[in-house]
Amino acid sequence: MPDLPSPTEIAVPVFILLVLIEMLVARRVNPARYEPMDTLTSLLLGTGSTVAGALTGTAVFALALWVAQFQLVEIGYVWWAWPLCFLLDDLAYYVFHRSAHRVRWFWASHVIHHTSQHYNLSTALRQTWTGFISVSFIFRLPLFLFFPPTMVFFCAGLNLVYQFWIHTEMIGRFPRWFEAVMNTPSHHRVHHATNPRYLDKNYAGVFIIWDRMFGTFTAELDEDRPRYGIIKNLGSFNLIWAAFHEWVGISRDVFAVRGLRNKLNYMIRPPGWSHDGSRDTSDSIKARWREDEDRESKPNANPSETLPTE
Amino acid sequence: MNLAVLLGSIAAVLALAGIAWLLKLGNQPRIESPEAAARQAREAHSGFRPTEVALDGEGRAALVLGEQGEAVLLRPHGAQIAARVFRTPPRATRKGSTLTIATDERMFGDAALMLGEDEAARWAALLGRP
Ligand SMILES: [Zn+2]
Ligand SMILES: [Zn+2]
Repeated sequence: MPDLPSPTEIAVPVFILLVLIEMLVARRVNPARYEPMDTLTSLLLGTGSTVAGALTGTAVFALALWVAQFQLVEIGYVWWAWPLCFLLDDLAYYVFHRSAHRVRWFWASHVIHHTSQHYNLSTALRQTWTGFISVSFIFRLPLFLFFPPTMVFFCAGLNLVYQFWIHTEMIGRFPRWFEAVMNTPSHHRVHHATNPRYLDKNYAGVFIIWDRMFGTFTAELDEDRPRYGIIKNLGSFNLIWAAFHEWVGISRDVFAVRGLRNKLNYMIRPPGWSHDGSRDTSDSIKARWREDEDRESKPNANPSETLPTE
Repeated sequence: MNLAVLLGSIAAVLALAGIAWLLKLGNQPRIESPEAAARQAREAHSGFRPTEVALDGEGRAALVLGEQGEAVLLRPHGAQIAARVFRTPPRATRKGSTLTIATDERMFGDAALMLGEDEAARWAALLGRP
């Protein structure tokens, strides 16, 4: 078993340097791209996330080793296993990420990454503290049936490092071939946007091909500039609230509602689901937006207004 | 992860946030006009059709009423605007020329709108709290 370095640990100094550079550029181009309190919140959430990861890492690694016992074929560290593992790990990331937006239990952990109303390199470091509680590691488990755990974790680390640099508004768009295959700043801006058109789109980690294959891709439009954050922005820079607010929301709802089915639904239905339909989900928001778009595209759709009154 | 690494990370984090502050990044956003408030309310709540706007004198907050009796509250959060949507008009209290909108969310807090005496009274009445 080769002793592999942790890609994220090596990359941290580069992350810091790039954040610094982006801040200096922001000062010249648009100082509102950064906000000191927002940056502080993002970076402290990132630091806390590494602590949480260290606390639960051993358990996750033990689980990976346990799954690896059941490998039917031993691929080992042969050269072609690396790119294959990286590709399949990226697919596992896509499945994880899509679930993280569509199942509230998973969302409660992932939402942290989306709580900033800014989109800059510091936003990339705004990472969850509760990934273990939301069992986000289960999506990678099948990989351990084929690849050595160290290889999978190495690929996962590389994947995370790749996702850092795409959190920026400094880069517009790349040549068509690159945007066609790779996740880019433009594609990921869409993912962080709350514009109805962009909700629940572009779940990719490294390769955007998964979104194109599974129908969740949407391109960024110049005429609909992304507005970042979540549907119900926190309006607070409180670190603890950012880290746990959706868990608090789940427990409140589960306690308050009657009936086991409702209680369960408050945990596993999409974010915003409510037993009485009193809240917005991304689907209801999109539906109203489409109605609006239709109305605007045919302004005379209402017959009472168009019929001649004789 | 050991304690030295953790403390080092926190020091780097504080340094970066400090630099953002020294560079004077971020700005206090203003809601420039009733039209801007209406547009921002529509962005915050899809399908929303604004009918009336109460705009704070300094542009520090706005309450926008909609066709269906819903309301959108806008207020700055750092360099951005944060919004809250109400299905029915929110609770409001008036003190002189200031109208305070209650969100019933401790972490979001309430929002105060300086409207001038008459406007504040009119809005308080409109929201059912004369
Ligand atoms: Zn996401
Ligand atoms: Zn992101």
